[in-house]
Amino acid sequence: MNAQITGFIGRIITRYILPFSMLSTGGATSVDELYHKPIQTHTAGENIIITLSTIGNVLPIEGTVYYRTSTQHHFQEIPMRFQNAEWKGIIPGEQVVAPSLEYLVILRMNDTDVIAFPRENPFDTPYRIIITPKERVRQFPNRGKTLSYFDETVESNMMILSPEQGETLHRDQVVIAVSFFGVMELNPGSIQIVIDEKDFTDQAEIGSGLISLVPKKLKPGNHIITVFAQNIHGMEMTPIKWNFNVVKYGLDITDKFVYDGSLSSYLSTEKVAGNVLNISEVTGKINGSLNWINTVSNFRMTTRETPYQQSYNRVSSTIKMGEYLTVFAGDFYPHLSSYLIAGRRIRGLGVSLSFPWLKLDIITGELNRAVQWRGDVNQGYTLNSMLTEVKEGGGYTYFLDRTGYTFTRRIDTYRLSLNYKSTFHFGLYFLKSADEPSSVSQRIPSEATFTVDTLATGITPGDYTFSGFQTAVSTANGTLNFPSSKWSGGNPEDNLVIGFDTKTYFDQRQISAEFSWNISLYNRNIWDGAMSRTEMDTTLDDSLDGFIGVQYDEHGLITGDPSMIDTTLILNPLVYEGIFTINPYMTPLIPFDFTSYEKHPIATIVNMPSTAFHLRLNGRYPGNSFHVEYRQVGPEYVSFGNPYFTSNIREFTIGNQLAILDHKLIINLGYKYQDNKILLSEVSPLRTYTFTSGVTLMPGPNVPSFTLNVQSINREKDIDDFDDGMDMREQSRTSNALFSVNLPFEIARTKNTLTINYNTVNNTDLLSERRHPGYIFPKTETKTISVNITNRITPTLRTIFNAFQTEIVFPTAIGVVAAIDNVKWRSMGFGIHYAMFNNKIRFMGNCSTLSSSGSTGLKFFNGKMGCEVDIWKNVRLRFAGNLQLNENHLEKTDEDETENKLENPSTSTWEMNTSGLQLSINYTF
Amino acid sequence: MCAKNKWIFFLTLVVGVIFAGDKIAVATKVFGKAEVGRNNPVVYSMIKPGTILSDGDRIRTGSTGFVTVIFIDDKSALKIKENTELEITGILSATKINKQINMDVGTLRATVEKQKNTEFVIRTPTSVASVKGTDFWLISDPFTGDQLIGLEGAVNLLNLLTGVSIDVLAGYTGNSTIDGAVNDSETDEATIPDDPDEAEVESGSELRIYLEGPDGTQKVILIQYQ
Repeated sequence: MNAQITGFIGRIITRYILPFSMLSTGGATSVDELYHKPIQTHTAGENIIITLSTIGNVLPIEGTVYYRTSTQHHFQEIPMRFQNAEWKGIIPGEQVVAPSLEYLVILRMNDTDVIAFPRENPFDTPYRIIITPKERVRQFPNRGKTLSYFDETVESNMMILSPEQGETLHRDQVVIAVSFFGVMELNPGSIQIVIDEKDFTDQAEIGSGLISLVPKKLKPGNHIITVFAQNIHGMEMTPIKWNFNVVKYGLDITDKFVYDGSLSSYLSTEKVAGNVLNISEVTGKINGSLNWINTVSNFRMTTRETPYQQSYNRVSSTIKMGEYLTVFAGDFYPHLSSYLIAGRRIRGLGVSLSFPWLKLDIITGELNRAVQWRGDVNQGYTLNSMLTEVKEGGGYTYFLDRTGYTFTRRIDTYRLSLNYKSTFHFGLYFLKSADEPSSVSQRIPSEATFTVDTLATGITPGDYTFSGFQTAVSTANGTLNFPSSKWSGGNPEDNLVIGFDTKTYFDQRQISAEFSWNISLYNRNIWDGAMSRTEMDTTLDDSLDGFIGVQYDEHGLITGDPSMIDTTLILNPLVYEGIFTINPYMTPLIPFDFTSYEKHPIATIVNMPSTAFHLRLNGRYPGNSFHVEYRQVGPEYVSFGNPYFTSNIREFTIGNQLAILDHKLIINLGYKYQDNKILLSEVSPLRTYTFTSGVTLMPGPNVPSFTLNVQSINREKDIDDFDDGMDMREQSRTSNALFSVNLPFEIARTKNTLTINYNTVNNTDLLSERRHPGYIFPKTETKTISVNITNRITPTLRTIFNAFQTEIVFPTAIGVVAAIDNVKWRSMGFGIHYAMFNNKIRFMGNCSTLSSSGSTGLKFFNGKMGCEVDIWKNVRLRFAGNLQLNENHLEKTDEDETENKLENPSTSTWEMNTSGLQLSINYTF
Repeated sequence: MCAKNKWIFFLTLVVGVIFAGDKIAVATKVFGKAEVGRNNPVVYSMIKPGTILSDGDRIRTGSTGFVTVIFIDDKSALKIKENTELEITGILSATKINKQINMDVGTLRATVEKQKNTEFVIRTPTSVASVKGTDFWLISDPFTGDQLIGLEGAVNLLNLLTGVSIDVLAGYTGNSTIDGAVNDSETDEATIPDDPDEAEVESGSELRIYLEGPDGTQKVILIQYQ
C-alpha cells in the first residue's frame, strides 16, 4: 500500500509541484512533499517562526532560512530544526523591522539536491512579509543576542544620568536614571533595562522622557547596565551600556565571582513514513561575572553531529572586559559589513577592541571544516569507468577519483573603524579566505565504498572499498591511476576582499549619508598555487622571452601588437601567494578593461566587475523617514564571508514613510529600479521596476487596525532573436496586494483578537499576443485568505483558531498547447493552552487539517499535545507528542471516478504518516 | 468604599493626573533627612533615591540632609546641602527645559551643562543667578544675602533690590547683600563647602569603611593616609 500511495503522491508532486519547486543541483530527482504557508504580515520586534511541514515521505537532512530586512543587501542565515514533523527556523525579533522583511528557505535533501521556497528564483524573488509597526505598548523580545555583535541599529541618543560610568556606590544608594527626553521617535513601550543580563524593566518607572530604576539590593561587585529601545518603526536603537560598582561596607576589595545559567536536555523520536529519526541534544548556557569581566558561554551537543557534514554542535564563549575589550571564541556570527561578512557562522576567535574614537575588530577561524567524505557509496571515491583504457603489455588502467569532500576554509578579517565625535565614521576592512587543499586526504576510511560498473572491464561489478579494489585491480593485472590532487569533487578556492565605508550626519543627526566601496579577488582553482613569472611569460604566448603576450615569426621577429609587458616589472605572484593566489583561474584577471578606460575612464572604474558599492541617504524626522540609495554589485564580486550577496545588480531605491495622526496612520511609498547591465557585454539586460505603497492604520491598543499593501513589479527583457522553443523575452507585470485587519474585541470578559489577511499575486504576460501558441508563461498566481482568532478566556486558558485557503493557478501544458491548472489548499486548526496549579503545570494542544483540491486530492490531519511541569523551582520538564495522518487515495482513472462515485464513495484510507515524541528537561541556576 | 467616595477618589486621581507637573528631574542621591513637597497646600514626604521630580516640587533638607538632583534634558545637577529649602520649576519644550530654582535658604552646588537657547536661573530672596554653563556654590541666607563661589565658568549675579549685577568668575566669590550691594573677591578656599557627593567615593588619599548595624544604622570609619 505504501508503495502505491507514495507513487501516487509522487506522481502528483512530480506533475504539479516539482516543475516549480525544484532547484536541483544534480541529476537525481527529489520529491517535494513539504508544505510551507508563506507569512504575509507580522509585528515589528516579534520573532517570526518559519515553518515547513512534512506531508510525505521525504526527510531533508538540513534546512536553512535566509532573511533580510528592507535595508539590508545581504541575506542572513538561520539554521532550522526538525521538531514535531516540522522544520522550524526563528528569525529573531530584533531583526523584524518595518516596513518589510524578505525570506526564503532552502532544504537540503541529500548531497546534490535542494528544495527551495519560494520555488522560482528564491534569492531574486524571496517571500515578502509586511511588517507592521508595533503598537505603543510594552512588548519586547529578549534582546540578549543583540549583545553578541554589531547589528545595524538606529542611534538612540539616550543620556545616562546615574550612576556614572565606573562609579562606586553603596548598595543602598543605587539609582539608575536614563533620560530619553527629546529623543525622536523612541517608543517608550519598547524600553528594556537589563542589569547583568537580567531584566529589571518591571521594576522601573518609565515615562515623560525618563527611566528611573532603584533595583533591589544588588550584590557587591561590578554590574553592567544595558538599556534597549526601539523607535516607533520597530527598529532597534543602539543600546546604551555602562557599568558601575556596588560596595556593601565601604570598599569590597575581594572580587566575587557571580554566575548563573541553564542546562537542558532534549530527546526526540520521530517516525516519518517508516524512517525513525532519534535526536538527543544537551544545551547549556553559563554566565559568569568577576569584577570587570563578564563571560557568556553556550554549548549544544547533538547526536546529529556527524563527520560527514559540517558540524551541528555549537560551542561558544564571549568574554567582555569592561567596555573596551570583547573576545569571542568558538562559534559566533560576526557582522562587520554586508560586503564582507554578515551573520555567517565562524568557528574561531574574534577580538573587538573598542574605544570612543576607535574600534578594531579581528576575526580568525574557519568557515568550513574539512569533511573527508559523505558516508555513502560513491561519496568518497568514484571510479571513472568511461576512462578505463588498455595499457601497454596487457591489462587495463583504471581511473579512480575523489569526491564528496569539503576543504577547510580559513577566514581572517580585520576592520578598523574611526569615529569623530559621533558625527563621522570611517571603516576600513579586509577579508582573506581560502581553502586548504591539504585538509582533504587522498585516502579516506576503509569503510568508504564506490561502485564499479560493467564499463570497468576486467573487474567484477559491485561495491568496493579502496583496498578491495586495489586487490581486484592487481588480480586483473591492471594499473590504478589515482591522482593525489585535482580531483573532480571540487577545487580549492581563494578570496580576498578590501573595502571601506563611511557615514556622516547632518541636521542634528536626522539625516545620515553613507558610502561604501569594495573590491574582491576570487580564484576558483588554487590546486597549483600561484604562477611563477616564467608561467606568466608563457601563458599568452609560447616564448620564454621575459615578456607577456609577444609573438614571434619564424625569423624571431615580433609580430602583431608591439605592446610588451616586461615580467620583471610586475609583481611576482609567488611573493604574494600568502595573501592571494594569482594564477589563470583568478577573477578578475585584470581589475578593469584597459581598452575602455581610454574612452570612458570613470565608467570603467565604476563598473569594474569585481566591485560593489552603494550610496545611501537616510532621513529620520519626526513622523517622516526617507531612504534614497544607489547600489551596484559587479557580476564578479565574491565574498566567502557573505555568499548570499546578490551580484550582477545595479539598483536605485527611493522610499518614504510618513507617520501622521500621532503615528496612528502610517503611509509607505517606494520605488525601485533594478537591472543587470553593468557590463557593456550584456546586450539583453533584465530591467525591473517595483512600485510599493502601503497604508497602516493603528488607532491604538484594543481597537481595530488595518494594513493595505500594494506592490507592482514590471519586468522587461528584450531579446530580438529567439528559438521557438526558447522564448527568453520577458515583459511581465506582477501585482501583489495584501489587506490585513486586526480586530480586538471582548465578549463576556473574554479577550479576543480576530485577524484576517487577504493576499493576491497576479502575473500578466504583456507579450502574450506575440508569443508562440505553445509558450508557457512560467509564473504562478495565488490568492490566499487566512483567518485567525485568538481568545483569552481566563488568564490561564487561551485558545487559537486559524483557517486559510490558498488558490494556486500555475501554467502547464496539454500536449503542445499551454494551459493552466488550479490547486486549492485549505487548512483549519485549533489550539489550546491551559495552565493550572498556579501556572506550575501547563497543557498545550493543537490539531489541524490540511487538504488540497483540484487536480490533487490530498488530506492531512495533524495533532500535537504537550505538557510543561515546573518540577522544582528551577527545574522544568516538558513532554510532547505529535501525530500526522494522511488520507491515501487509490489511484483511479477519471472514468472510474465518475462511474463508481455513487457505488463506492469511500475510495481512500487514513494512515499514520508521521509520529513523534519529545521530552526535555531544563534546569536553571 | 461607597459610590460617592469612589467618585471622589476617581476625580482626585483624574485631576491629579491632568494637573500633575511635567517631570523634569530625578533625585539620584539622598543622605540624611530630606523631603519633597508637593500639591497645594504643600505636603512633605521623605524623598528617596530615584524620586522623579516635577515642575513645582519643593525640596527641603534637615540638618544632616543631602540630595543630588539631575535634570533630564541636559544632565545639569544640583547638590542640595543641609538646611536648604527650594522649589524646582521647569518649562518644557520639545527638546529642552527652561529651569528656574526658587531657593528660600540654604546651600547648593550647581553643575550646569552649557545651556543652548535655554535658561538656568537660581532665584533667591536677594538675588538672581543666571547661568550658561558652569559650576558654582550658592549659599543663600534671607537675612544677610547670597554668596556665590565660582568653580568654573562664569555666573551673572543680579541683586534684586538695586538691579546691579556682576559676572562671577572661577576662583572668585560674589556677594549680594540684602542692602543691595554686589561685589566679588578672590575665593578663600576655606569657605568652599564640602561636597558630600565627592566625599562619598573614596579618593586616592582616604578610605571610607561603611559599617551597618542590624537596625540599618550606618557608621563610617574614615582613614586618611599620605
